[in-house]
Amino acid sequence: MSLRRVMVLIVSSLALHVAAQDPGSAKLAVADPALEARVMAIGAELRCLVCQNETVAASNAELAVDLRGQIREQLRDGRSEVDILAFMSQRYGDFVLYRPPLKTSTVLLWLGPFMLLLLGGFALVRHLQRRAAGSLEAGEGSDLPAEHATAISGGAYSARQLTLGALVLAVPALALYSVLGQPASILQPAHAAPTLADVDGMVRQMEQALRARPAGNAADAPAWDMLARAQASLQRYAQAAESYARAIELDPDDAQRLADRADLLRLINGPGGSAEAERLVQRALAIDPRHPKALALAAAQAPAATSTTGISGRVEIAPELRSRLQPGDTLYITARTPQGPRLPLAVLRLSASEEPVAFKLSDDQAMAPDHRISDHAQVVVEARISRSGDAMPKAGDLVGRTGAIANTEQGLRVLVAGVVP
Amino acid sequence: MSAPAGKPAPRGLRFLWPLVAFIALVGVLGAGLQLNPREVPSPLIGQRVPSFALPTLAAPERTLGPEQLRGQVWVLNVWASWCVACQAEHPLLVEMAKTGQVTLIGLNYKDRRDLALGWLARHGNPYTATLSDTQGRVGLDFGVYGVPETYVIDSDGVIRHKHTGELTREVVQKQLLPLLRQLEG
Repeated sequence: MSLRRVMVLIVSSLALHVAAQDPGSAKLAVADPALEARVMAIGAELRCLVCQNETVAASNAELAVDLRGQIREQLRDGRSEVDILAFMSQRYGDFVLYRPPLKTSTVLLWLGPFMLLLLGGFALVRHLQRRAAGSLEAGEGSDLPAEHATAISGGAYSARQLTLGALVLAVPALALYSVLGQPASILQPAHAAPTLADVDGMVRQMEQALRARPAGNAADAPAWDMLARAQASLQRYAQAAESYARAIELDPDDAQRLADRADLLRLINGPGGSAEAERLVQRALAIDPRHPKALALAAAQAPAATSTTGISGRVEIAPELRSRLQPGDTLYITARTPQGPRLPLAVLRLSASEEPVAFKLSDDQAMAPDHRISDHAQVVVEARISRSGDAMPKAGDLVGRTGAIANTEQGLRVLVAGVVP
Repeated sequence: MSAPAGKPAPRGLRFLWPLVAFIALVGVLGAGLQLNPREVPSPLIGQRVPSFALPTLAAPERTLGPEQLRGQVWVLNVWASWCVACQAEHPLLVEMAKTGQVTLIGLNYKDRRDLALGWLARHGNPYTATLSDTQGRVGLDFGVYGVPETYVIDSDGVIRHKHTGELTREVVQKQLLPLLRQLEG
């Protein structure tokens, strides 16, 4: 793993931590989408002062989350967008507004570009007029052909002027760079980036400093988290899991922390994880039933849904119909209730073949969660070979149907012997 | 353009114009690069301190507001136990408090009471009183966006100065203390 990646991981895990603190907005958006749209529209007009190039709508910094909450509250109280923007600029200044108001201190900001454009246009027109006038004059006054006169009077500068111009540009540019820029980084670029050993040393130092601290202080838990993340990104997973354990000891009720340790235990012990990982995830979900990472881990831990019951067998095509089969034909196998809705309990789509085709129909192929094979003791299985691949039966399709059979039937044989009229 | 093309002086000047404009532009942009984008000028300077009544950290049943501090110059320091920079500037505040010349009021911003009390016990308590702003609502009225922040409020209840970020010895010596002396004097 490259150093860059280590750094990106450390930073992004911090960012995730921040993002995880705003589980509210998704919930709120569901609760009142119209209000949330207005909150976001106003938030898009405001600068987040923590991540200064982001809007309050886009940022997940805690301040932006707070300000969105404030906007939401004020909208609920019936205040207008103008009121809310005024409220914000009273506290944070015009800087918070992405569109600062036009006043004496901002005239240059608003009109500057237009003034520059006008000036530039004016200079260009003047220059062109002079060139035209100069070339005319030169053309009249000399014996040279007109195009040569242009080259001398207006079109080109002498070599001396060009050299002087280049110097006058280059010298101040270099001088400015030496003051404003970082010339040292040109000479020794390699020394700027920390080596893996540096990062490792920093992490070990942090670990020592933390161990030296008096035990039992809950405020140290986030520091242990940070150490754990750093260790994990250096692939020292066992140590990272240990650091999370220390953090949990200090502050046992943080869902993110519990899920992080569970994740590492799964990484160390394989996808089966351990009984402890399972307990940690359960505890995390008890604290925050919607915690994304805990939910993901819980889903990964749950035993894969096995289709317990179902029907298996094969589909055969009657010998006299085999000649009608063409490559590319589609075989649909469906299970339905003997009476009741046409909506299948299960559907399989396979490619048709002259050879018998083995199949297994179970709840896995259900089309609706409350309409499944296992809910009906008696079912009918139908096989249909379609030229067009259409889900609806068409004239010319070949079909075969069983009578009512048990929903656990194994070794079933479905013979395709009919043609849809 | 009636002057003959051979005259050097006006031509040379004209050719320097874009350069002058360019250097001026670079100068302006260069000056802009030297500015600290974190130093957002607070619109609250020269304004009356926002009114509030917050429970104190030591005794949550008692509240404190700016009206009770009227008539004296005070310094409001926004801090939290989760804030690393607060820990770095804290010794300076403790030092300031020892001189006994400054009324330091803490605003414990978006913090838990038990963690805040533990933090003060460990690092020393320079504050005459600390207000608990657990929701950060009063912080919002002060335009707090980066903890720690420090405000100087005069005896009329007007905000005179705001410092965003960690206090340094230099800031204390060159900005805070002179201003406090001037306001007290």
